[in-house]
Amino acid sequence: MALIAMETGRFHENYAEEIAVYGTPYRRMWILAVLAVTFVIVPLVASPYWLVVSTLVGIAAVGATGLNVLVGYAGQISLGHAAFAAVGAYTSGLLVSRAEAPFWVAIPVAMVAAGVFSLIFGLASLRVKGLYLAIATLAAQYIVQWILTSWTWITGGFQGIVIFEPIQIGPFDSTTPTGKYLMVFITLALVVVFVENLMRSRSGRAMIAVRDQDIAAAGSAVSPLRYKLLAFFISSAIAGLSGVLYGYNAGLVSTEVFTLTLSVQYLAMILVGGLGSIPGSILGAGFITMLPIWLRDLLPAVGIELSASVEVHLLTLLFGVAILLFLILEPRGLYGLFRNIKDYFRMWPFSY
Amino acid sequence: MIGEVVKRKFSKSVSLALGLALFVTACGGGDGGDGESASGEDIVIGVAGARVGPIANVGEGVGEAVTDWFEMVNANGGINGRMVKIEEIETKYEVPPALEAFARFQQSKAVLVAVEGTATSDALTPVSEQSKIPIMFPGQGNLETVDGEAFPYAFPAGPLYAHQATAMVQHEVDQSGTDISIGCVAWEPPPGREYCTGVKNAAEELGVEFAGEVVIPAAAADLDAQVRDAVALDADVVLHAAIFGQAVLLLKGLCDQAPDLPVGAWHWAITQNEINGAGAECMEGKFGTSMSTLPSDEPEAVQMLRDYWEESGTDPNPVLEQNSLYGNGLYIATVIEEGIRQALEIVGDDGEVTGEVMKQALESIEDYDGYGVTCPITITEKDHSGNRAVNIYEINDGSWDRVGECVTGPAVTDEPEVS
Repeated sequence: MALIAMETGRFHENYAEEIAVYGTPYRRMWILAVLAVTFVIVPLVASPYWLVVSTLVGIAAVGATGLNVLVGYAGQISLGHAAFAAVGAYTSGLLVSRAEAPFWVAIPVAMVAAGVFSLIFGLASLRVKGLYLAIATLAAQYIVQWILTSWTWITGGFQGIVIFEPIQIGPFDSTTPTGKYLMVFITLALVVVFVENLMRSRSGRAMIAVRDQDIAAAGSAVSPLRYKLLAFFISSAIAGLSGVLYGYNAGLVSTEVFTLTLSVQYLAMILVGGLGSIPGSILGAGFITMLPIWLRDLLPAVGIELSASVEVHLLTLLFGVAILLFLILEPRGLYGLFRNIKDYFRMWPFSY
Repeated sequence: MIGEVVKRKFSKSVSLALGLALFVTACGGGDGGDGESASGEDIVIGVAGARVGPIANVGEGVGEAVTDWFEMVNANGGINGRMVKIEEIETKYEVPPALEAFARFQQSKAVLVAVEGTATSDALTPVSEQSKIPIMFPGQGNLETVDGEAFPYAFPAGPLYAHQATAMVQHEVDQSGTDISIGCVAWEPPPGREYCTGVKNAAEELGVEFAGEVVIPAAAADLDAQVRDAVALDADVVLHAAIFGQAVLLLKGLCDQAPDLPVGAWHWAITQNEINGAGAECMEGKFGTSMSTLPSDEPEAVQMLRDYWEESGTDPNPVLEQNSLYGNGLYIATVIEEGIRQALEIVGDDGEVTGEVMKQALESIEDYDGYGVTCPITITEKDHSGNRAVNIYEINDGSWDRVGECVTGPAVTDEPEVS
């Protein structure tokens, strides 16, 4: 008999059941509902402004999901993901604008380029861990920024502006708010499906084993070298994809876009959302992107009118305090919060 | 026991979730919808602010000046009776918040968006074209945007960094002849590099030796090595495109190591901050360019503001003392005002001003001097710079003195042909 809401007492009788995406009809219903809201209701109902904001959340979510593969699942840290996003964005933009490659060729090549570039820094993960690895990946950020501003024969000048030609296929137009939204969220859906499946595969489990205890993993014939590099490659390829999406969303990229701040924001997103969780990456991206907007709109809504010079500093302070409070109250992130509520209802009316 | 833990976690989680939900609900009411004018008959101008982040001083100066100016304009009855609503949204000089801010301005039916910072103005150029809302960013980089046919909704509306650099070199040649060598210290981000490219181009054009370029990393907190490199260029004059704290560090370092070396700056570094930070003695004789007439020269626009403050019993804005930062804000504000005036000429005083009308209006600005704040501006459909002249200032007895008025340098090599 199909279980409607409760997972308690559901036992897998074979391997196929264990790896099924839809463990219960309840889960299938939730996924279909999310898809319906994302791809039907939001594009029909949301104003252009909220489509723009959602698109920014979606792009951030792609980047954060990529970083979560590396940090959350494989246990390796990176402060260079904005650089990998830049490699993706510039590779794609230059292939289309200079080599006149079609976008469907340029985008996969850009992802591979970002992934391969990250392997240089991934090699460091074999010798160093934690903060030391963070500093090694920080080098990627500085190297890429230096290349973008100094190798003007690549970028075409100090501004390094590369225009992204719009994608127009039938009624689809990547310059409209709806077109941008759909492009980003279809990509996000594909990334989520890929990462979800990756984590249910041998490679995903090997990454988790390396994260939890790499010496033990090596003793179990799981190569830390192979899986750390694989995590770097996949994670950075997805970051490269987020850079490409950024380019199509803004219509261009320039050298001042992919800064260290963006790398730190990606980390903040997965920490606030929940390490090692795909929904957490998306929730974290939404939280970090939208919190400044909510705070900005909250003040007038509660009747507080301040001058621009006071308001902007107050909002910056509130943004920091909100993140701090959130991490203290719920260190497992937004997804942990969701799980706590879900667990309560799963056990209700019993308390254990 | 386990039950207690689950209950406790649940209570905490629900409280947090409810807090978030209430928060989002409270904030969700501000949408207004696309078809609804948020401001009635007011003409809405968006300001993509940058009061926080790497160019915070620019954001503060420009933001304050634009706000003050339109407060005065509205208090005096608006422009031909139409009020102007300034809607400023902070971007922190980051691109995603700038894109969000632009979408909000679009929702508020803004007819023009003033942008602070080259990175954000670059990023908003495509969306401004898609939405047909002009963006205006006087006093910033990216030479390509002067071409109005290539970038129809982007309005630098003033001298760009390369123009400032060529004017500075021209001034030096006018003062000392061509038998000099000029070195340049660039801030690493693109606007800084573009400045030094302008210096190099002008030096070649005017037959002056270019001694070389030293680059300051964007976030460097110690410039000792760069100061030594700059001195090692052995140039007769060093021009720099450093900003704020870095400009002070550079100037102090140069004063220590080469006290007699003439040093010139671009317009974000001729403020009171440099005099206070590096010391009046060090700064004596230093010089720089400004696209605006400095407030310390008391141009008519500043007099108008002072009169307004006096009549309304308001204290003068202390940011005014920051000279070029506030002066450049007045430049932007007065050009916007003239743009609105021209727009109302086109559609009539009660007519509907749109982004497309505003573009047309800006392109009809002719020989405008912004109440003494700007060198004459004439913007056309093809030429969106409209003004390549700058004032030259030098510090004498601890204050900035104008020693060159509306100086123009040789044509910039990489500038698109717009004449």
